[in-house]
Amino acid sequence: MEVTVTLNGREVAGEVEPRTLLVHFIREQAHLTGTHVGCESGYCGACTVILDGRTTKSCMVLAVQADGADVLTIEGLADGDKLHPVQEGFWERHGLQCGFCTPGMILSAVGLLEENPSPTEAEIRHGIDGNLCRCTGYHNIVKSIEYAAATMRGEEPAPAEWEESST
Amino acid sequence: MTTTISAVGGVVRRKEDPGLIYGDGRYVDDIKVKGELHAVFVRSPFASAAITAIDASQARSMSGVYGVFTIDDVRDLGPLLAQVPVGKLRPLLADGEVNHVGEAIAMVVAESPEIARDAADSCRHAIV
Repeated sequence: MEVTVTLNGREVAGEVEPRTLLVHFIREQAHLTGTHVGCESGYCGACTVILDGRTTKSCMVLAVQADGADVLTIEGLADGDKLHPVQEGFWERHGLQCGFCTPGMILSAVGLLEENPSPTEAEIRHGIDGNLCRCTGYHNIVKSIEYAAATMRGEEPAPAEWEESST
Repeated sequence: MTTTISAVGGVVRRKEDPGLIYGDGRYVDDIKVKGELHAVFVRSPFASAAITAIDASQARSMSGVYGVFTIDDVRDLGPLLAQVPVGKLRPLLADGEVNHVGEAIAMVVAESPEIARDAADSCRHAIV
């Protein structure tokens, strides 16, 4: 079956089996490997993309269901060399260790901040509860998203905890 | 004015992060090797059961399947490595019985993950 998906603004067409998952289409046919396959069963969120404006686990969508859709993956988030504020937040606030959950985590955070530009810590934790981090780095992930939220509101982010403790 | 660069006491941003936050990381699943094969395991749906027969004939005959392995093919390789030596060592593949849900009963190797999955699904085993 022929499907055409607009991936990060670029049209990608390919021949897929009816059972091909969107995540496999993105990785194997569009060769964008930033979207990860973690559990292939909807628990871990490593495959999170933004599908027609909504954060979506791309292992839970068939490629044929995404025919004609607009999909944003981690590769399309930065504006050239300029990082998206959420990416910047993850770098500034040590929001990653091994980095495997990071693309999905970042896109979930982008979706969360679009809906709620000023989330509380509890709302951030609720917003990323579909994304698992096996390094268990949740504390700094929350701090990274708080950094991004402040930046996107045009505010100065709160100092990092290690900056606070050194003054 | 001289600038002193110290490795101690400063805040250092990780050098490996940019690739990972751009989606440019390289994990094992991102590496493609020409001629690579894919393995899928046939796993136990039961927590505790005896295996009386495994019929992999259909899987072995499928186009694109390179091999189907059961305990009879790998017994001489010894037990599963990297186990804490407490209790009995587990076999590489289930040997006559299964002791947990998801225990590997057979391994199917094929030229694509889809063919391997189909072949694994076609394996029939009698479990009581």
